[in-house]
Amino acid sequence: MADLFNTLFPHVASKLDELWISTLQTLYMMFVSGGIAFLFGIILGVTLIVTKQGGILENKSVFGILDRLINVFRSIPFVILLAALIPFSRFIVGTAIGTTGAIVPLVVGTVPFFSRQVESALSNVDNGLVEAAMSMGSSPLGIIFRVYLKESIPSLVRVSQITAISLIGLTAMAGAIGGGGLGDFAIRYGHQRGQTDVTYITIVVILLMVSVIQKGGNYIIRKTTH
Amino acid sequence: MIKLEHVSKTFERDGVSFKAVDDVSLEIKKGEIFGIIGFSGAGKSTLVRCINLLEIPDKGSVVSVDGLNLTALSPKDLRDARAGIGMIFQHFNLMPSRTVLENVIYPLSHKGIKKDEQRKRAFELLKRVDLESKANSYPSELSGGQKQRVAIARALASSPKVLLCDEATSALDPQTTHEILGLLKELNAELGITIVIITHEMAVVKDICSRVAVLENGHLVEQGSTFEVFANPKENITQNFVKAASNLSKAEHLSSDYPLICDLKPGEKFVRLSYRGPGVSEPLISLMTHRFNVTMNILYADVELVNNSPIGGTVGILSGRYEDVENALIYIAGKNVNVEVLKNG
Repeated sequence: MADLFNTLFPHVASKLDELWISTLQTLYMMFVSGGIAFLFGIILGVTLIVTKQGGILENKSVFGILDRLINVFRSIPFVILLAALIPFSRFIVGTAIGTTGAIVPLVVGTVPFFSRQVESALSNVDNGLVEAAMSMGSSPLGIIFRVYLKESIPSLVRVSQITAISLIGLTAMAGAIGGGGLGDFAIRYGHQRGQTDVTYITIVVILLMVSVIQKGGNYIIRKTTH
Repeated sequence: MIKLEHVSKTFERDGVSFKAVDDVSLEIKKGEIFGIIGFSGAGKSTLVRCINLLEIPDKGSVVSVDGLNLTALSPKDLRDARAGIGMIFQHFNLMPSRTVLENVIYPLSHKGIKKDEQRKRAFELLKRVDLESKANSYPSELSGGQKQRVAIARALASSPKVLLCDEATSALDPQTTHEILGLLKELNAELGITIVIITHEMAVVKDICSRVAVLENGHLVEQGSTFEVFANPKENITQNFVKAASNLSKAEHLSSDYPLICDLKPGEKFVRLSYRGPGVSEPLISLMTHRFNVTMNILYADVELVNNSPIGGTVGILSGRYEDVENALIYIAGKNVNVEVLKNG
């Protein structure tokens, strides 16, 4: 077994520690930026739904500004965003490099995409349910939490899966600004030193992460769909 | 109990405005079952939503439960007032992610009521609608009639004084419709709850409403006791509703569809006799044929009870001597029966 591993991945055995650290760095970026992006995405997605025409808190100007802002940020390629946000990152987290420096661009890169996904998940909630809740005297806040969010848990999980998986891709790119993580690891050894087996082992680790996200999400979806 | 005064509601989409409800005034009395009938697009749903202000009228005022002027309330007070007006819908609008019990608990929670108190009350309500056994099922596992009964239980949770029914039986089959209407009648009798029913089905109004209003293009064209409106429909649209609900309208097509049956001999008359008012208890046709020595070949007879009074009539061919037939018709017209001679032989 060990022989087979050494034959298939000759350069990996000596870097197991570094592989482990890179994996933790990727997980760190995922959880911190993912957690923050989730919160902002839900807030902005809900805001879009309730302020749009016919929404429970219809507001043309709030919707118009938010809608355009999201479109602008969605159209900036992530690699350019990384560079453009360097001063902003310094201002927010005190540094623009390393895993912590990557958090700000990761959040900014994820939130617009996720907000749109949340918006579409919530727009599938039957208007009749909102109307029924209003007829029972629910407040706008009550409708947001007890109808919109509660009734769309399966779709919210589904869009979170999609976003989390695309976030893994973004964390790999963040390696470009010295962000560390698996992307950085694969580029430094696999690409720059021609140790292709290192690239492959990185792919395996990332595949594992993706399947955990898929399996876990599907489990919650199954449990919450009736 | 509920008083709408000059209520109007206009919708505007893409610069085109559409008057859904146009200057409607009506009063619904405490404890009655009031029907609002109209064809689709007449503005019924908008009108019923003006009662609990799910649609805010552009003009007019809505005075509801306990003389509260809903149109003058703050958003917070309006929400509290809405809880006192139950509502059920055509498509039930149950929350699919919640069990039957949790659906009924919805209006009870976040109101400072203890959890076990909420459950107890919800169970009582489910028992009321005969669905205790389904407490832990999800709405997707229920039939249409069961879903509507859960919706009724949910609407009753906050002990409302008024129940609004927006096409509540339109998605149900006739048998289930009958059951749901029976349940509503029962609740009306036992709890004294005022019920407002929106429908396009005359059968529903006929079955349970004591008074009815007819809506056309956002206007209220006719209103009164169900019997009055049925027996003497004044407006065209009301006549259409009445005809649609009765077999007597077939008489018009009879002479063209079945010419042989209506092949009248000289002196015979093809007539439609319809009851005009309450209190038809005499065997009129039998008396008439005896007294005037005429015969009546009955082709159709359709009599229904509306609020315990018969409504409807008879279509047939009257034959006998010319004078006898004339006198028979004068006699029967004098008995509060509307006589129409559709064809002379």
